[in-house]
Amino acid sequence: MKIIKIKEETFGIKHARDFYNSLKDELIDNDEVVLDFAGVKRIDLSIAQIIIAAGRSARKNKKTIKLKSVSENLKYQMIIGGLKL
Amino acid sequence: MAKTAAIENKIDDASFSCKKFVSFLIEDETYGISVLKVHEIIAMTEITEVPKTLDYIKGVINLRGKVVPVIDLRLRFKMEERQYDCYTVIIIADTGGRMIGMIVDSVSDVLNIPEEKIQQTVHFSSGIEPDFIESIAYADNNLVIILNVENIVSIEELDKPGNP
Amino acid sequence: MSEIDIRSIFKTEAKEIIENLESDVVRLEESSEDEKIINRIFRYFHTLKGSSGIAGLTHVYEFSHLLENLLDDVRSGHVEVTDSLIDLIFDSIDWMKGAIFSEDGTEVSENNREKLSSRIYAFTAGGREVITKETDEIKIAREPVESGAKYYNIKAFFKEDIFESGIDPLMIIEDLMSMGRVVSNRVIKKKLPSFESMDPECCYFGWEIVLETESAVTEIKDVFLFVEEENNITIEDETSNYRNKGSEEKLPLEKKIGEIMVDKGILTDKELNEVVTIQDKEGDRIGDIVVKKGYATKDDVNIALIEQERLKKKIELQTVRVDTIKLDNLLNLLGEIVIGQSTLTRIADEIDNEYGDELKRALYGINRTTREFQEQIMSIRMIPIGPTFNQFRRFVRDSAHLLGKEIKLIIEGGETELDKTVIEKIGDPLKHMIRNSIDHGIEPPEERVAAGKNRSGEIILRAYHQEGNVFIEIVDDGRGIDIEKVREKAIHLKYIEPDEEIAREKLLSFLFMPGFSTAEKVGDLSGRGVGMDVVKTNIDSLRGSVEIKSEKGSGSTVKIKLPLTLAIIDSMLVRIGKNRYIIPLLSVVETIRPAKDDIKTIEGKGEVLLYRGEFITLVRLYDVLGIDAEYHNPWEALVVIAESEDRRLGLLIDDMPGQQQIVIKSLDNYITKSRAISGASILGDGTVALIIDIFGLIEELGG
Repeated sequence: MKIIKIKEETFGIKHARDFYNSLKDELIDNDEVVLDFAGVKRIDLSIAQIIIAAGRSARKNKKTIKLKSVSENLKYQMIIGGLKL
Repeated sequence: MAKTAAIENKIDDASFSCKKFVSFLIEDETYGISVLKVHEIIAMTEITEVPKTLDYIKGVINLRGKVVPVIDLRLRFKMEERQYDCYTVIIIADTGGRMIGMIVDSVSDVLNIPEEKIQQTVHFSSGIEPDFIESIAYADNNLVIILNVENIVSIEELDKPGNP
Repeated sequence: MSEIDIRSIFKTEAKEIIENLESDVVRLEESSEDEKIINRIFRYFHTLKGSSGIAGLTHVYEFSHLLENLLDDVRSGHVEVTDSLIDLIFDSIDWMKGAIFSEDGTEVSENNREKLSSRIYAFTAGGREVITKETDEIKIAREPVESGAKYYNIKAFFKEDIFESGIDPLMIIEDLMSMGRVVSNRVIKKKLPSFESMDPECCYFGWEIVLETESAVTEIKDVFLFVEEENNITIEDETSNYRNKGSEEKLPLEKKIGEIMVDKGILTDKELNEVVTIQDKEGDRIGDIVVKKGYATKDDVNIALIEQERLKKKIELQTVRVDTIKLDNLLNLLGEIVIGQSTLTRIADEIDNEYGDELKRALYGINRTTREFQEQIMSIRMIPIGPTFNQFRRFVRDSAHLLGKEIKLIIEGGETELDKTVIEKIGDPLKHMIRNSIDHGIEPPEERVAAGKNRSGEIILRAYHQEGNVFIEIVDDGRGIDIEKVREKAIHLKYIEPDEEIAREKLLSFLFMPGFSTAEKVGDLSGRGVGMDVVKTNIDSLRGSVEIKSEKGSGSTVKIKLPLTLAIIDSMLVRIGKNRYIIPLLSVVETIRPAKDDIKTIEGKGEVLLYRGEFITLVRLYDVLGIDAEYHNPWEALVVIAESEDRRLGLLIDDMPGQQQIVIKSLDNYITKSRAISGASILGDGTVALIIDIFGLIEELGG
């Protein structure tokens, strides 16, 4: 299991490529990846897209991605972005 | 004045402790059926014969769009058959949704019979099957045989064998 | 509408849904990955939830909500389809059936519901907050429409490089949603590529949102102020669709704009395909692409849009739920009209002048209308057999499990339509015969393997139309019927002599005799069992017939033949002496007057008639029916050539007064024991005529 801690308060397009790359690598090496959103206040669409695409890919490969410490506010954004929590 | 009182008395009886019966004749005997079991009384009409049936089932008639079987009560009672005439009528009985016509010699009246004049226990011998008789009543100095319509019209279903 | 009405409507609806549900759950068990099935099951629970809520069955409402969530988790891949999940769903359906259909809804065990609920929680719990899941749809409970509020359908598709301009579509959507109440929110994700091939800096998503708000359309447009230019944003006022509709769900667009344009001849199919491909790639509106491509003008597109709007409204009004009793009444009334018409036609025939001809012409017109009217009513009464077949999926599954057998139920021709009365009455006989196939036909897996068959047995339920009849077949590939055992039994019951030569079909038909299969242990016949005579009686009452074919070792086929409709048929009126009878026109080949030389008496076959090179049995109907006839010599009388299945008969009659449509009235079983009489009808002059059933006649004559 691998935990990715996200430190940015506003986690968005600026971090999208890095986030995508590291998530891709971790999904190769681990069966379970946990994304810890403890300090995050906002995400944008690019992040939501990456999580959803990664989730699909993980399920296909019998792996799991878990989200941790998602604030109420963030949860709302994720729901609008097509994630279900 | 006494006469009027008697009539009034009769009306009272009718509404409180009398039962109503349709009475009819077969041979010289008077029979009665509870009016509650009688759907209507019609004149003799054209009967369509049906093959391979019981001897007392005369066939079927058209009762305003319904096909209704008709039995001859004389034959049901194992009496001699008799030529139908202008007095012959068909009493359409309705027992729990099943309609069946009964051919009788003639209809005489609708009788109001006080309950005390109806004997439920039957120690009575007549030519017809005891199961068909429900009770005996006296009306206008006449003996009326009250019939059990259910038993008369409950006819065993005929087998329709899969192979002869 | 009273509460009772709502309840009974709900019960009817729930019954249908649960039947579909059960059959889909069995399907899911067979193909656990099928998203379409999972989606359907999800929607069934969703619908049950909604309508049980309206019907005031709170416990059902709450329970279906749990199941809806469970299925949502299955849908999103969070919960896997396993045997224990299928069992749980079936147990839950059983509880719901009890809760919905038991006389007193409260009877069902609360305890049971709690147990089931905790089993459901066991599936859904734990992961709920941490595992990633996605959704396209966010459902938010609807409240009554506030006056002044408007409904907008907003579609927002963004260009792929929108992030470069520093705009976050998510924020725009968030803003938009804050303007009112979100009725529905679909996130369109179809452009999202696989994780491995996606560009993390590219925008793939779009939204379709229905928003209830007091704001004006310009205010909504303001939200998109910065993106309106190069992105595909549409805002449509759909208030009219949401008003005055109580709690009903919005109806989907039944017809797509492209289809309408094809219907109207604006587009060809080929052009439409091309346009749709472009739309999938670019996300533009169909209308815009069409105009851009020069296939049509903007006006054409507008016409199609108006048509679409009109259809949308029409669809809302087009379906009405009608109590079937009303339909039956309508048919009865029509029957009376048909009889009345026959009377009029008879009168017209008797008027021997120009008025008679005029009357006949007028009647001819009415006849045509009545016939069409009848066809319409009939078509309402016709419903597909599919749901009836499907309800056996669960039955087969459960029974097979119980017996430790493996059985696959295959359904063919589910779209075949039958009169609703037939459908209602065919269920029990079918179940009987399917049970026979399960119990006695299909062998246990080991036995099958030993016999060189597949482990898993097959039962096929098949329906099809042929020659004005509906055929239903129940086919199994089980061990079949041991014909020798049947023969022994028939000898034992004295149906046949010990050394009698007897055709195989005839022997098998003994299985339908009362007491034949039940007199001894059912297993002795290694095939058919309980109460086949009951099955036959049921099918007879539908004016149908049934036969069995079977090979020892390779299975059995039960074939049921049923009439398309039960109520009105075309018929030929025949006269014999003073009696008139009806022969269904479907059974009549032609009417002839035979030559004297064509009539022969053949030893063992009785009287025959040479008809088109073959000898067919000549039936003196007056003998069969026990009546007097005018003619006794066939060359003086008429002969109706009639057929049923492959057999032909010549029926001797006096005269043939005409053909007419008749309304079939059934005769109670006690009225006649003749199998040749299948019912009665009332003729134009008010008399009753009996209907001669050719199939029954053949049977009565001794096969």
